[in-house]
Order: sequence, then C-alpha cells, then structure tokens
Amino acid sequence: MNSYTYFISAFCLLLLLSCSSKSNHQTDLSKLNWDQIRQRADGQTVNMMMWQGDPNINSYMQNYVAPTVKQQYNVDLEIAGGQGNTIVSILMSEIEAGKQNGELDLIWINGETFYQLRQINGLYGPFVSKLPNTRYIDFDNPFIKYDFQQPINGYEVPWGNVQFTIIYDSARVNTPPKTKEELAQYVRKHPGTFTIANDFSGMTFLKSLLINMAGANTLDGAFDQKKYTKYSTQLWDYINSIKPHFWKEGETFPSSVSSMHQLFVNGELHFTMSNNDAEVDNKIREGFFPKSARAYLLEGGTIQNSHYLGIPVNSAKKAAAMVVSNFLISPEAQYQKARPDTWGDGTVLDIKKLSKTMNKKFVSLPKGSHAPSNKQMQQKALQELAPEYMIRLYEDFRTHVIQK
Amino acid sequence: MKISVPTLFKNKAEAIGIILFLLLAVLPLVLGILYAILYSLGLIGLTSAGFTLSYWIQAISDQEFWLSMLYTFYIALATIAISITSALGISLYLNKPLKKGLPAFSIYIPLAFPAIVVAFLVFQLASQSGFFARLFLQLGIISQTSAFPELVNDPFGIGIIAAHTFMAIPFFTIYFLNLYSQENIPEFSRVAQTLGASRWIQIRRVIIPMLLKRAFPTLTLYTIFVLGSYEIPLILGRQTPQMMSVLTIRKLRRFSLSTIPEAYVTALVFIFLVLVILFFLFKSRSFSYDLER
Repeated sequence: MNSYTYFISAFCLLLLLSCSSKSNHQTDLSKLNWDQIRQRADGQTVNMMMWQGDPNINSYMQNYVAPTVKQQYNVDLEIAGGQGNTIVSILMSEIEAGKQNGELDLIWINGETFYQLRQINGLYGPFVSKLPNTRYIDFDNPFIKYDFQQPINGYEVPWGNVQFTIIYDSARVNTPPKTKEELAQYVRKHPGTFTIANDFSGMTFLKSLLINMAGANTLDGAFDQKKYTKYSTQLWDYINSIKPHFWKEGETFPSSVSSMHQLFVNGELHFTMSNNDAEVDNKIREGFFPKSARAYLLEGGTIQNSHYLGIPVNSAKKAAAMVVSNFLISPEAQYQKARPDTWGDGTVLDIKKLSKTMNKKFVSLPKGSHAPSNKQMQQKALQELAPEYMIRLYEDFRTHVIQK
Repeated sequence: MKISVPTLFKNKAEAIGIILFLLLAVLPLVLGILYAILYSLGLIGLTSAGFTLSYWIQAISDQEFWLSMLYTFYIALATIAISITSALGISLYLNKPLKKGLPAFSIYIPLAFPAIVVAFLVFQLASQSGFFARLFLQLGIISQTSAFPELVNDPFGIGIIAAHTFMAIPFFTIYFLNLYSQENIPEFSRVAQTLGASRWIQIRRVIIPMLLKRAFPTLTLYTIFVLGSYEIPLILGRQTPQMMSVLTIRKLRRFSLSTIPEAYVTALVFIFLVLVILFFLFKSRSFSYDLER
C-alpha cells in the first residue's frame, strides 16, 4: 500500500468515526431538589435562542439578564437570534439525526411554536413546578394556563403578556375605525391607507375579526372545521369586498409588520399593527413613530397573548436553563422588564402574591400614555384560538385573498 | 509482446482526485437528494406516517407551483437577455476606456455587493416610498408618492430583474473584455476587414458569435444561479407568484409541519428540471469550449 491508500483509508475511518453517536447519560432532574439543580447549573453556559428584532428587548437581555445570572448563579447566558420556524427546524433536524447534546438550551416561544414542538416531542418537561418563583404566578388565569387553547402542562414557563393593538396617527385620523363596518367605511373613503401584513401580526388581526364575527367564546376549544368554514367564509367575503381599497389596490401585501411600520411612518399607510401593546410607546420614544401615534383596540376586543420559555428535550444544560428561567420570572426581573423605559412587557406575575414593597413597585409603574390602559385592555381581551385556526388562516389568506 | 491492461484511470493521482471529488462533492449531494426523496414520500421525518404519494400530488396539482416555476424561468431569462445585450454593447463600444484608470476600476465596484445589499439598495431607491419617488415628488413631477410607478414588489418582477442585472452586467462586461483579447478577436476582425467586411458586419458576423459561443457555458451557469437566487426575490418580489427558492423555503417553514414534505417535492422537481435542461445543453454541439468543433 502506498501513502495515497493510507490517506484514503484514514479519511474513511475519520468519516465513520464522526458518524458514531456518543451515548449520553443525563441524570433525571425531576428527582433533584432546587438546591441540587442550582449546584448543577454552576459554571454552565446556556444557549438561548430568541427573537432579536427589538433593541430594547436585546438590551434588557444583554445588559441586565446576562450579567445578573452570571453574578448570582455563575451561569453564562449566550443569546442567539431566531424564532418560531428557525427553532423548529433546528430541533427537528437535531432530533431526526438523534443528536443528544442539542445546540439550544432555552427558547422563547409562542403558541404556534409550542404546538409544533409538542407535535415532535421537542420540549423537555414537565419542569415548570420545579421553579420556586412560579409561586407568584396564577396558573388558573386562562391567559397563562392555555397557550393557543393548549394547556401548558408544565412544558413552558410563562414569561410575558401582551395584547394586540392597532396603531394610527392621531394627527391624520380623527376617529379610528373600531368595528368592521367602520373599517370598511374608512378604507372606501381613504383608499390605499390600510393593509394587512402577511405575518403573525396580520393573522392575529384576522383572528380578532374572526372571533368578532363568530361571537364571544364560539370558537373556544379544539379546532372545529365546520365553524371555521362558516366564519372564515364570512371573513374572506368581508376582506375581499374592501380589498380593492387597500394599499396597492390589495394586489400585494407587506410580508411583515415591520414593513408596515415603515409605510406607516412615511405616510403611505394610516394604520399599522402590533402584537405588543407597549410597542407604540417604545417606537415613539425611539423617535421612529410620530408623537401623534396612538394604539387602540377593536370594539369587539383583540387577542391577548402570553409568551413563554421552553427547554428543548435534547439540551445538555437543562439545570442551568431552569435556573435562568427561574430568574426571568423573579419579581425583580419581571419588574425591570415591565418598565416602559426598558421593554414595557406585561408581567405574568400575580402582583397580589408579591411582597408589599414589590407590589407597590409594580402598581406605581408609569404606564405608557399612548396605548389603552391595562383595565381597558383586560376588558377587551380575547383568548388565542387553537393553533389550527392560525395555520388555516395563513393558508387561506394566501389562496382566498392574496391570489385572488 | 506487450499486454495492455485496460485501466480505469490514467494514474493514481487522478484516481485519488476523482475518488475525493466523488466523496466530498457528489456523495453529500446524492445523499441530500435521496433524503429529500424519502422525506417527500413520507418514509422519514418526525411527522411521517408511512409511504404516501399525497405530498407529491398535493404539491404538483397546486397551480401556484407551476406559476412560480414559469415566473422563475421568466426572471432568469429576462435577466440574462438584458445583461448580455448591455454587456456586449459596453464591452464593444467602451472597449478602450474600460481597460485602465478609473473606469476600469469602477466596473468592478458592483461586483463587491452581496446580493442582499443590492436588493435593499434597489428597494430603498425604487420603492414608492423610496429615494426616486421622493425626488420626483419634491420636483413636482408627481403629486403623491403612490403615483410613482411600481418598480418593486411589482407583478412583472422589474425590481428583481433590475437587481440581478446590476450584478450581472459588470460580470459579463469584464468577462467579454477578457474573452475579446484572449481569443484574438481583434485579429479575426481585421481579417474580416481586409476581406471587405464593414464594422457592423464584423461585429455581427465575427465578434458577437465568437464571444457568445465561448461564453455559452458561463451564460448557462449564470442563468442557473439566477434561477436559484433567494434574497433578491425575497425582498423585491411579490407574495405571489414567488420564485422557486422563496416558495420552497416558505413551504419548509410554514406553521403546519405537514407541508415540509411538499417543500422537498418543490425542490426536487426544480432540480430535476434544471438537470434535464443541462443534459440537453451538454448533448448539443454548441455547448463547448472548443471552437474547432
């Protein structure tokens, strides 16, 4: 054998070696108590994947959360950008390849991702009751207990709470349309000033309309094909009847709500939308939205939605991920997050359960002046529907509206 | 007497070269395609429920799929046609000034732009709220920005073609300029001149055919590059029809996990079509670097 053959056999051997999987023995964390979990977390690095589209949120994570967990628990928090479908595809390919030590240890998820990850058994759990700070959370609150009508069953930690709002420029719009009839009237009078983004926010708007059409609580519970067909037909008829008056005559739609913000700011659109009721104030403070921008709710209510944290089933640092999650739902971290000058995200804690001083801090939080008050929002809060409604709305919006 | 043993390879170095190529370049691709085929037939994947043709039927019976296919080829062919015509014109008429100094340098500048940056630039300049729309508004040519013609996210893919052309013209201009001197085209052209051909006849009968014939493989490869482009149509395209790569990624990342096999079908059909086209092109005589044939 000459040197070439050696080289090739060595190469093939390397290839084979790289394919063999290492067996991995992880201790069952559910048998450990919290102190043992904390000990185990000491010195570990947590890779967290989250949506990084907002500088306020990034700054909260980088400049407050990461240094604090390092100092208090000696856990290094590394944050990578990515949401929903990115997380699902990473986990899917890792699980399909049988990878034991996954890339991700902690993920920021929402109902539709929760649904997908539960389908592929991608989430670790139940673990939520292990976290000491869950004692401050009211798990009987339907906006926390159910994520897109699915019971969370200890597989995800509630992290924050937001409500869908429509944003308008009060300098140009005197009375914003609050019902579907008023909206139809408005777009007929001001053609080209309204549209719907073909993304999560746009679908949330359509979902709010769907619930308004069906009537309160009609669509609660599991996905119902009959009801969906009935009310979605009404919804598409309605949208198509006013579509010619939409932006660009309804021939195309913005692909995301951020391009809608852009169009709103440069005056093409009179309205934009947000899944986060605090966004209007954040964007005004950044100088991106005009000072006259206001957020409002539909007469029939809009979707209120909690967002959550999950731990992938193949994470090798579950203990440290649990320690970080526990910190993120601590009263102090939740308070920092709720401050309008940091993020303005609604807390998931039941502030009645907090200590007197902490309760006071939450109560005296300055509320953004350009969005509806908490009380108004609570009165008009609609629950998320089962995830299949969202899936169908996405597909049907494309076939029944965009392609028509 | 000498007995010649038929050998597969000329020497060991070549054998190793080919084996390494197969191992590193071809094998992963073949495995990837096999994986896609198995996935599209429901044989593997976390959500698979056994063999089924339903994903293929679903994907292929979708009108949007074929529209996207046509649209993709339309964009690629239009881009190539415009780029070649412009690059030929530039390299023929600006041959000398482009050889040195600032013009020679400036023609390289667009080549330094990544596709996604070009896409954003075109969007910033040409959208209805972009630079030109505002300029026209300020100059009083239009009364509101929405009166500016739709150049991005438009039905004809003008924005997409513009962005691709911006990147392709310098590439082909430089390529043609090099071919021009490498192939001794000026000599042939002079021969034609001594035989009485006018400048126009020289260009039409000698220069352009020679350039195009030599450039044909590169043109084909560039067309395939445009066919598979992603960022530019993602940013400048419409929600429907979408170019194949955008459509595939969309199907791959929908909320419903059941459309993932459909995404593989889309990719497979696309690869198959491109391979068929390449096969016929390679079979045809004109597809060659060899001018003697």
